[in-house]
Amino acid sequence: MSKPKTPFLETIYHLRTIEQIILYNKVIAISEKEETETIQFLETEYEKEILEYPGTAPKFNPQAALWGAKTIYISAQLLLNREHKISDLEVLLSDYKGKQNASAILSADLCLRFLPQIIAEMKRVDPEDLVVPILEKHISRFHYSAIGSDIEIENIDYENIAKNDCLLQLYIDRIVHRKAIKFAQSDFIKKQLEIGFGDYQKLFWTQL
Amino acid sequence: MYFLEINKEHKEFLGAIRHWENLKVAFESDVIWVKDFSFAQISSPEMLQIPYTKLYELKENLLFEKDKLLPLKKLPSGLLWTPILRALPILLPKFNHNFFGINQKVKMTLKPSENTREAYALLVDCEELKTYIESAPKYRLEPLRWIVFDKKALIIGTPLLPLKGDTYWFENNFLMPSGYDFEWNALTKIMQKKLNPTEENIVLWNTDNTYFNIPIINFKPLSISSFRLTFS
Repeated sequence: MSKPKTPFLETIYHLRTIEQIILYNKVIAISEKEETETIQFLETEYEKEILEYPGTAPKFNPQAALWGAKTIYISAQLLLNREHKISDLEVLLSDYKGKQNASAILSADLCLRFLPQIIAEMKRVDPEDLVVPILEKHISRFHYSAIGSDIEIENIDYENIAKNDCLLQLYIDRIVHRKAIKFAQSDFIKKQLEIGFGDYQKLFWTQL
Repeated sequence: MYFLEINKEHKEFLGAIRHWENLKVAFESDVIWVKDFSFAQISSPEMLQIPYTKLYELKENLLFEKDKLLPLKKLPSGLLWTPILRALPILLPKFNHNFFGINQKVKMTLKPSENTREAYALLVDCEELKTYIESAPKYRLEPLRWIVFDKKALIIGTPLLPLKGDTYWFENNFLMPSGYDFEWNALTKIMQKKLNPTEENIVLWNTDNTYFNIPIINFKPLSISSFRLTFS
């Protein structure tokens, strides 16, 4: 198979269109040009998604989207090719540097929503993998992307979610859609669910 | 245990209670006996409207007239009891061979009905819908389908959205205004075959007896993006 010139962009493109990870090489370094192209691609994807978002959707956040895409790409690479020391991993899978708000959470979610599956796969291969805690730390900060997964998240902070009506509604919708009973335990979420269901709770979600 | 006695010549009056299937009937030479009344039936208006009857209560094999203290007679022995539906058959009127009114037509009209049924469709103003849908939870929209006509949106499915609008009942692919039913309800199926033989349409009735045919495939799943793309 011929190697594409832009492996990172291709991988993200496939992830977004057919929801499969395809890795083309072992290279983890990503050129600046490729980053810009990926951001452009993710922005068009974001534009498509906000059509379905309730209310006024927050602005696209290029940094957060790119960070999410990189995190996915590198963790997929690490799942296959492990030639790194643990000290490198902290650098490769760095924290998100920007401000964490609704715009960042939704932009990062474009790719980050696939991370729980990668974490699950890593755990299956090696439950004591040192990469897992790093990724779990990321996903617990961006817990909107983790809804419905088995990842244990303690003390979820709803402050960022509650600040933005659009994100709050999306958060509740995703909990209902994935029937994520674990995420529906807190009083704050329960209250929101009640508001949405009204008289029809039994109809929408019997087990709750 | 109550017994009713009526003379054979007044047999027709029993028609008022013939639909009580629990009753049993026996024939003596010139009287008819009826038994197995329930307590509610004894004091019902249907019983009181039958003339020329005598109502007895049976105690220790003696027949007491109802609410009297002295026995009048014994129950005749050897009575053959049969269910009232079989004992009193209905005679249908003869077929009229000289009837020439077969060209007459029945007009299908809607009339207010006392039935209550759950509303299945909602006709709502698009502006009204916009304010709700822009912030609607996704799971409320998922079970619904919609179509736009005449600056209004017709939404079908349950549970319906909490909006102000006209609601409709659904029966045999007919959408009828809530609170209305066909005057000749028994003809609904026949009319369904005439108006919508392939069952590809949903027929929307108005209270003034006019109707629209709407192809079912034209209904689209309701979602925020579907709404936005329609009106952008």
